[in-house]
Amino acid sequence: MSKNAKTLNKTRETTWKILLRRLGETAAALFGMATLWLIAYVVVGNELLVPALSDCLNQLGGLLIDGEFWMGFLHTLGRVFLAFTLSFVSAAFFAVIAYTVPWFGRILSPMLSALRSLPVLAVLLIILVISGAGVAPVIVAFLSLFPMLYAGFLAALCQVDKDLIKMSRVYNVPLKRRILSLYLPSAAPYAMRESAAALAFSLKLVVSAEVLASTYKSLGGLMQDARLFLEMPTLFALVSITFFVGLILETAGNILAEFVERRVK
Amino acid sequence: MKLNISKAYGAQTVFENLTLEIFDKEILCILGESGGGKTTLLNALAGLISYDGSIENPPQNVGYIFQEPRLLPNLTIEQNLAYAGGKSEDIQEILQKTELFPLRKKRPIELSGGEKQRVSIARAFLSDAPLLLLDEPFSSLDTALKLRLASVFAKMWEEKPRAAVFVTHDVEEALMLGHRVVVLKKGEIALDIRLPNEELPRQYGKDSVEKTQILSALLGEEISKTR
Repeated sequence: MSKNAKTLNKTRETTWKILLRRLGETAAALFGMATLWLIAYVVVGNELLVPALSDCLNQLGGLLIDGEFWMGFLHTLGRVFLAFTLSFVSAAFFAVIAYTVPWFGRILSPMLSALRSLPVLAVLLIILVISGAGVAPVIVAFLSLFPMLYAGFLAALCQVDKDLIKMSRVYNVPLKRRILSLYLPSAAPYAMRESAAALAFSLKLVVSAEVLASTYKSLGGLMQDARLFLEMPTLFALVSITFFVGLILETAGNILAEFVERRVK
Repeated sequence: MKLNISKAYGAQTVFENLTLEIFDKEILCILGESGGGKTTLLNALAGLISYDGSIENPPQNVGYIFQEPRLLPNLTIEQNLAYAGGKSEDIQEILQKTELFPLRKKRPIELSGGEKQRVSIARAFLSDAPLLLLDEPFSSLDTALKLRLASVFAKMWEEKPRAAVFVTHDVEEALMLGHRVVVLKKGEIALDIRLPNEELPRQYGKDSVEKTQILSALLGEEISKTR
């Protein structure tokens, strides 16, 4: 067996091993967060600022059997996926155009730089005037995710091996075959990792915008209500749920990215 | 095929009005110093770069053996050959001929350098391209492997002879595989000689009149400077 083959076998970890490793890492992160919470609870000593972990867990249990919570949760999740999908599709589309027509990319670049430096939550106030509180978080998330995903996809395309592209041109390989066998396998792992991070970021953006817009039927809206009525255990429970869902989305995305990377390499 | 081309990168001229005739069923070896435009010439013939001048009857498609094998890492050897447009039955045949059949389900990472370059040779011969281009394909291999791959190449060429342009900086390689040798110097042809009509590959490292002529053309100025 060649040295290369040994290296390949070594890197071929089974999917369940990856899952176990990821779960272990997540559990360790959660344990760390709970410890920090307990320390903050003891140091601050004010239930209004940092409630007890047990109270929050009780509230969490209560929320999980509350229909209103699930309605808000599902609507938020819907907005997250809608914003992500819109950003993903348009970023992929524009990245492919910018890659194939470089001058288009050069024109788009300053516009995206401006978009990146835009204080999106301030823009939310303008968007709220134009659209409803239900749509505004989707637009805000899109404005942040689109430049991020576009840059990631373009970088993924640019790192496709130039020598292999040249070889494909020499042998007149049809475009469909080039896309399926060269571009997608080369760019997919990198693009998947960007997407995993973007999906978790999408949740953060949508919930933040929902809080500011007091969106009806949303996690952010429920958080705003809890803040107004000083229901700190409920607020912390809602924040914990958001954090946990974000963690699940990012972990699932990374596992998928790792799986794709292993399939490709 | 006759060409008369000029090529410059910005202010730097690679060659100007380079006139060369490439004959069918002939292996033309091009020798020259590094940066002398050898690879540029191949890229012009492959249609990968623009140039001034003309190439009479340029080939629609070419077979290209690069310095590195350039195989897709995510595909098996068989799939790599299919990627370049090979038909299934032709792929099986060429895998047998190049003794790659037992390796057909392996990915490039599982092969040695010599095996990968053998796949690259198989890929070039798989097409019916009337012109083969070779860009220092043996330069990174040890002598034993070089000789073995030169035999594989010669065997494949004997079965399907066609025009081939073989760029190398190794005089021995040129003498081993060429029918004709051209020495490029400062963008111009310093020597164009025909080698004896013998079975390929010729004996490696053999002294001959042609070898002396080539070395003189390559090193002429340097030799006179050292004297």
